[in-house]
Order: sequence, then structure tokens, then C-alpha cells
Amino acid sequence: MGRSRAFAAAGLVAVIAVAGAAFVLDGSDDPVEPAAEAEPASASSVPVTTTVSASELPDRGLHPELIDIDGWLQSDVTSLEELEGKVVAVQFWTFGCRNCKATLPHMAELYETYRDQGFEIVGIHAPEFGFEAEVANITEAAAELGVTWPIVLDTNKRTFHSWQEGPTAHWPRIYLLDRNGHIRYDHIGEGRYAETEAAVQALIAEPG
Amino acid sequence: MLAAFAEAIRATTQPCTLLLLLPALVMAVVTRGRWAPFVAICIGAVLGGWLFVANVVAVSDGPLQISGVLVGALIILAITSPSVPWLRWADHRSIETATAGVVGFVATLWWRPCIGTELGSILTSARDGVAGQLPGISAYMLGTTMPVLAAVLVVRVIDPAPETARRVTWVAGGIGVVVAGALAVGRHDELVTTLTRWATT
Repeated sequence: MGRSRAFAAAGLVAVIAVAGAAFVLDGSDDPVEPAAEAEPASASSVPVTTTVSASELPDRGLHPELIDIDGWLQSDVTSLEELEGKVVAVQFWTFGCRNCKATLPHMAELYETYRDQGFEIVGIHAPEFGFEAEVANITEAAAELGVTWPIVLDTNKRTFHSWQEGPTAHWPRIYLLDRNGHIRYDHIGEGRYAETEAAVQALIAEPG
Repeated sequence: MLAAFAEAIRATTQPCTLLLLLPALVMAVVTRGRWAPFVAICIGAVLGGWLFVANVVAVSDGPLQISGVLVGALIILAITSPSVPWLRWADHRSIETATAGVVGFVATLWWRPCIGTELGSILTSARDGVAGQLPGISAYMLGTTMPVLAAVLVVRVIDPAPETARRVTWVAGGIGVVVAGALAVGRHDELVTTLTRWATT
């Protein structure tokens, strides 16, 4: 084997080692947050180590409207205005999205823990692919994934795009609305579960 | 930054990164594992990543179709540049490097990323200022190019005979042109769906 090929072979071994390390270290850099594929039960054992006061959560204004939606599932509510007076987590998701699914155990934990304290979740389902737009598939997936909170059907993704500034919108994304319907917290992607829970606690504790 | 780099490597095993990786892998093979095109792919991907985080460009169906035509043409150009008479005046290696950079950049427009913890934090923080997120997204994009680096190294280790290399180049280029062609005819969503289902079954 020539010298160049030997260097390339050594480099290949190094790349494989780095890739292996990336998988081994998955999540170990953030002990607060459970692993992405954690079962719902494991999320309950995670203590909230972050504290936030409501004054640290900037007021980003009244939430945008729900535009061109196709209805609600698992709820008698038909608008966000009906939820004023409650702290509401609005999450954009779609059931085929791996990262969205990873957040759901934590959302379920929040719902279980705080729903009796004036907290509600609204999952705005914005499908990426055609099969995710079928209501029967959404209902089936919601049952499988433990989504028991209200779901808004945003088949044409007009709400998905109108809520998110800029031309590119993302799944998953969570907004926390205070009791007056103002956006006070926003996070894209997985993670920051303890921070999100601390924000929920702060907004629940805030006088209406 | 290290966490972003590692998350990107993990994301390369997910279907969401396939449309970013496929053209880059094709270019790595078409350019016979040369270092200059690989570096150009990395630079293109990092620039595209910055644009993605800045969230200032809307990539609608029209530009996606144009990008499909462009990438298909560039792959064909990279493969055929040594034998095209009117390009003989040019250094075909430079042409390959330039086309690899453009393909690396354009592929980020096709990308539908898995937004895990690190990329999510980068995107969330970018809302309050993009500049501070450039190191993080650069690390992330370099993480996504690790399979391309592996492909470059594999080609260099195998160091195929010229005839074999030519056949491999044409096969890889053919795959790239088919993928680019699918975008050019407005089949982006179907392509993503197909790749997603293929990669998850």
C-alpha cells in the first residue's frame, strides 16, 4: 500500500472513530435533559433545575391568528381566544417528524403536571408529507404517541408559516402564551425541557 | 460547537439529511476523492448553512426546479469536462472544484434538517442575532460533511484503476442527475417522501 493510501486508510479509521464517539456521547453533555427516545415515564424523574421569573420572559406581543385551519381534534375548544386566562403551550408538530416525536413525552409530562393549574397545550399539526395530512392517520398517531391534548389541523400550513417569522418555518417549535395570550417563550427543536418547564411554572405563577 | 458537530454526525444517519448528502457524495465520487472539491463542498455547505440560519431566503418551487437543472448540469459538466472540446482550454480540475462548491451550496437549499437540541438552540438564538450563531452552524455543517469525507477517503484507499474509476464516476453521476432531475421537474416533495420511506423501511 502506498503512503497516500495508508494516510487515507488512517484518516478513514479516524472519521469512523469520530462518528462512533458522536453516537456514544449522544445526550451525555446535557444531564438535565433525558435522551431523545426516552419513555414518558422517565421524563417525570427529571427535576427542574432551572428557575425563571416571569419578568425574564420578554413579551413578544399577542399571538397571531390561526389561519385557514381545518378544525380541532380532541377538544371542544374552537379558538385560542377561548383559552385566554390559561397559560398555553402552542406546539407546531407533525407525527412523522422524528424530532417532534422526541418532544412528546416531555409535553405529556407538562400536561399531566400542570393542566390542573391553568395550563393547556395546543398541538398545531402541520403535515410535511401527504400521508401526514390524513385525519385518520393523525388520530391513530396521536393515540400511539400519547398526545391527549387538543390538536389543530393546519393541513395547508398557513398557520405554521404565519406564526413563524422569516421564509423558513420549523418543526418542532413551541410557543408559550401567558394568560393574556401574549407570546412569552419560544423554542425551536428538541431539548431545553427544564427551561421550558421553568417558563411554564413562571407564567402560571404570574398574576393574570 | 462540539455538541453541534456531534449532533450533525448523528443526523447524517437520518432521512432528513439525505437530500443534502446525496449530491455532495456524488460530487466526492465524481471528482475521484480529490481534496480540493471536498473542501469546496464544505465551504458551499457552510455558506448554505449560514443562509439557512439567517432565514432570509425563501426557497419556493420555482427556484428549487432551477436548482435541480443547475445541479444536474454541473454534475454532467464535472464528468465530461476533460472530453468536451470547447472546455479543453480550461483546467478541468478547477471546473470540478468549482462545480463541487456550487453543488455543496445548492444542496443546502434541498435540505430539510432534523432539528435536534443543538440545531434547535442555534435557530432559536439566531432570532435575536445571527452573527453569534455562525460558529455553531459552521460546526454543524462540517459535521454533516463527515460522510462525504469518509467517501473521499474510501475512494483514495481503493484507488481504482482508470477504467473502473470511469464507470464508478458515471454511475454516481447518473444517480446525481436522476435526483437533480426529480427536483427539476418539481418532484421535490415526492423525492423527500420516497427517500424518507426508503431510509426508514
